[in-house]
Amino acid sequence: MEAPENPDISVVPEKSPSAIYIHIPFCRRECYYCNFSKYKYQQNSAEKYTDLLCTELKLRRDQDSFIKTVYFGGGSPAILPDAFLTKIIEALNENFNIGKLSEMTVEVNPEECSREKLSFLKSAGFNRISIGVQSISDDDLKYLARNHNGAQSLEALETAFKTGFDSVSADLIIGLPDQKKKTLENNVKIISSAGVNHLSAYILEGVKEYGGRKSPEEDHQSNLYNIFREEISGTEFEQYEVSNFCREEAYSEHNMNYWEGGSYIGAGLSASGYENRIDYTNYSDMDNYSQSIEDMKLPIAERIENDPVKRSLITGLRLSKGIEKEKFTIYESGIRELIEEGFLEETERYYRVVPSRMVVLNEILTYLI
Amino acid sequence: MDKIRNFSIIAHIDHGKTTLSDRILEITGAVEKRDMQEQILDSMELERERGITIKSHFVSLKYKASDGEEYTLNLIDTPGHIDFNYEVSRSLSACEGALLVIDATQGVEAQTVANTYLAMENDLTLIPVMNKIDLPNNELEKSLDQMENVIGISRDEALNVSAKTGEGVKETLDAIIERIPPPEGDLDKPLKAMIFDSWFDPYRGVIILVRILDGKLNKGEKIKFLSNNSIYEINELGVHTPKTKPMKYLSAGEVGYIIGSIKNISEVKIGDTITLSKEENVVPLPGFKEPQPMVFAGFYPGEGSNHDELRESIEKLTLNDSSLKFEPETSPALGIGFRCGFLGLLHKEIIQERLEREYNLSIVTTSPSVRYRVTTTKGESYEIESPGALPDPQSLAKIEEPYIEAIIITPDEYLGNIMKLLQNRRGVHKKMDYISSQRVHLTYELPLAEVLYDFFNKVKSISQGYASFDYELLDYRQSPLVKLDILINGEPIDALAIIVHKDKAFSFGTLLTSKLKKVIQKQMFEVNIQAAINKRVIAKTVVKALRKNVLAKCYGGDISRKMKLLEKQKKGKKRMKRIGKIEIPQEAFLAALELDD
Ligand SMILES: Nc1nc2c(ncn2[C@@H]2O[C@H](COP(=O)(O)OP(=O)(O)OP(=O)(O)O)[C@@H](O)[C@H]2O)c(=O)[nH]1
Ligand code: SF4
Ligand SMILES: [Mg+2]
Repeated sequence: MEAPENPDISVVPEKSPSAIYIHIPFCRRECYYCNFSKYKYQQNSAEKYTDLLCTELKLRRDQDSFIKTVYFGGGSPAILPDAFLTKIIEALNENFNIGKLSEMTVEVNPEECSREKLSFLKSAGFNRISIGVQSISDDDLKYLARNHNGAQSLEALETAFKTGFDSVSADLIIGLPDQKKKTLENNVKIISSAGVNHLSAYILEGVKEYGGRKSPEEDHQSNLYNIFREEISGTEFEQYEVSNFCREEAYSEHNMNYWEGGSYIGAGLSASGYENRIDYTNYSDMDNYSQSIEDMKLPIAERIENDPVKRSLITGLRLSKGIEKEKFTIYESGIRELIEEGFLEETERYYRVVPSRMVVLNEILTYLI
Repeated sequence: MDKIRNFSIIAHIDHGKTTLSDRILEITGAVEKRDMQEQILDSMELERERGITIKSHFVSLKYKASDGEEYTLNLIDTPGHIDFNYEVSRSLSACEGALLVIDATQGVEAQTVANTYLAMENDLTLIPVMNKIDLPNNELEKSLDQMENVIGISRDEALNVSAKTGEGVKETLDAIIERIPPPEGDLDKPLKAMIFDSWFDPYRGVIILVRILDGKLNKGEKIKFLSNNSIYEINELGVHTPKTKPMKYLSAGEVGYIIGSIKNISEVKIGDTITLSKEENVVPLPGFKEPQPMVFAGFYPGEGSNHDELRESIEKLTLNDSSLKFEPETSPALGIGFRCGFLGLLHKEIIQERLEREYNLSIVTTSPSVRYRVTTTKGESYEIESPGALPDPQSLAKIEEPYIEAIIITPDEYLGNIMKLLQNRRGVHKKMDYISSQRVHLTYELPLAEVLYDFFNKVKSISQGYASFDYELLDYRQSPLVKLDILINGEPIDALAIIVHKDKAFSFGTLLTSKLKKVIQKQMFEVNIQAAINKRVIAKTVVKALRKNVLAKCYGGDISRKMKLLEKQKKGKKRMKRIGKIEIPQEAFLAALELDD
């Protein structure tokens, strides 16, 4: 069941970018399970990076596209001093059409959530914050070797509301080796009622057994994932993507754009973008990145032209609502087989993954492509 | 003609034939120092990679001997592996003598004996060469004892050589000139030449290697193949030195290549006799027995390859490998493919690798089988080459299977375990001789099918690599055989079925199902594996469904990475076959080859 060589790509129309992702590659310390590009924070390198990033934004200048969302991710963007963040936001304003942003998100760690910092972020224009809570269980946080405990996690959320953020998301981790059902239920109960309107819950990945540290087993993770989903369904939250949940339709607009195949601009070390049907990725090492920018060249390490239909199948099936039937007729025979086997289901206009089968999404996709 | 010497180099595998050829090429100046590389005659990519010779290689050399005269030496380096035995026979037919190379650290091994017999059948003069004497652990005296005992050549005739350092190589060349008789033949008789090899070269067309027995062949002349009386014009002839060197003519006693107006290589029959088109009274040579395929397996296109490509590619390979046989086959599980016949398992492996590499195909092969003779209750008799073709037990009167005579040469400390293995494989003990104080020559008769399944590796591991094995087809014998079916999720998969002795069926079924469990990866669906005889399940196991395979985070920066990952996972499935909804990897079809018994 091979997909045709030349699928009709007009079914996924190309759009001009409506989102910008900014990568800040610094962290206070490096978490062992994290594979983002990042460096240990140092003021002078952060200052230099800020300048490089502003130059990159100049190189990427685009006054024609209408930008609706901006996302600052990392690393830990909030460890940048206020002045640096201000500079970056100015560069964004200078080079892009971001007058009427509807969503501007920043990722923060609980230990960075001081009243002052959050007030600054708010005044700088951020209207959504995503806090790396991970868990409120001290055992979980110890396993993850995080810099904060459960109480601090909750405190951070509290501060965010007090500062006046109405849109707050909490990141949670599912499937630590010894994570109990109870812990997970507790996380769901307490955090979902703490006032956040969005949750991201990630199955822990990429942890190898090391020293006394265990690596999680797939059965256990799969069970916990489905327990989490069930727990959530008893709350006001709805699942809308593999790892994302929200209430009152507070979807992350920026991320929805990724999954729905929209174009976006990426800037910063290792950042990726998707424009004119090309997926590009910046250098992930500082030397090449800065060299390119000093030479006034885009710091792009790789450009790939992916089959847009396949690409939107792969990102679209992550969404709970699924993919529009009429666009994916070339995958239909495989889709039918998987419907029969209970992996996919259909509504009038959509095909979607059966929620409890989201944990084997990669298998579903390799079966189809 | 008395200045020509035609000889082959023969030996057990790895004893140093090709390395010795290197030294001879060097001494005769055929290859300049700067162009020299190790095992230069192993020119095929696969030969170089595996470090073994697959095809015979011919080269014509000039050598100024100690008597001051210049001689033409026509050397043919041959493969040592048993599967390519027929290459040795053909090469020997173009020669008057052979260097019998014996690795002095190993002594006489099974193919040393087998190839010696081939040379003797052709009445060739043998020059024993004790090789690798540079190695301190060589056992020269013992090797010489073995040679005297098994082959019956006196130790006084042996030359001590190191193909690595070049020691003794000059003496070997002089021995070739002194001991191997020059070719006989009559220049004045009508042309008579024998085809001993041919292949298709995409740039130059069909190339034929010939040995001229009588007469002379000039460029531009018209020749005739006696087997079918077809007539061709010679466009080019010459020798390989190893560079191609065109000449004006080839005459009696010489060996060389010819290129003519031959369109299709299938018109060329190895062993055929050539004469000039005008000649009427030339008596054809007896020719060769066609190499017999011993092992059969289904070849099916894997994910992403198709049937037509596979057919074209196999056809192209048969151009240069007439021992490869194939015919269309349909398998309920695998679809449309080909049942191919091979000289042995290595041959099969090489063909598969060439199809994958040179033609960029992905291939799934079934478990190999021998050729059985079945007789039905209605009295019909026919041959089958795949277990799937075996009739139902109800309508089956008898099955006969091929038996071989196997020779095993082993140090006696491993004798007990080797004999146990042979007995396990239904071997019938025939003979046992000590060929030197601690080395034994065993003769057994056993079913060919029993040596397909991991026999050779077992022999090697039991003996720490010291025992060697050779065989020859004997006859067909009736055996109480049954078909062991393998069912995946309730469906019998013909390509996984094997034919086994009834007393072994149960243990085979258990071993095979647990081996399959190991090689079939967890996937979206649970996989139930069962072994059954005549619809009765005798063993079963389950591969549980995969519980988790998802990328938790997939944001802008992860999309390209994720696409790559999925494509890679997909590619990993190239050598798999989707049967129903289950992905069965290639290893599963070969699982029966590596069972522990
Ligand atoms: N030390 C040493 N090694 C040798 C000598 N002759 C060959 N070898 C090594 O033995 C191995 C096998 O040599 P080959 O020349 O490929 O043997 P072969 O007989 O042509 O092997 P097949 O063609 O596969 O049957 C290689 O690793 C050689 O380098 C020798 O005189 N001394
Ligand atoms: S703080 Fe976040 S980005 Fe930094 S190393 Fe830890 S997990 Fe990775
Ligand atoms: Mg060789």
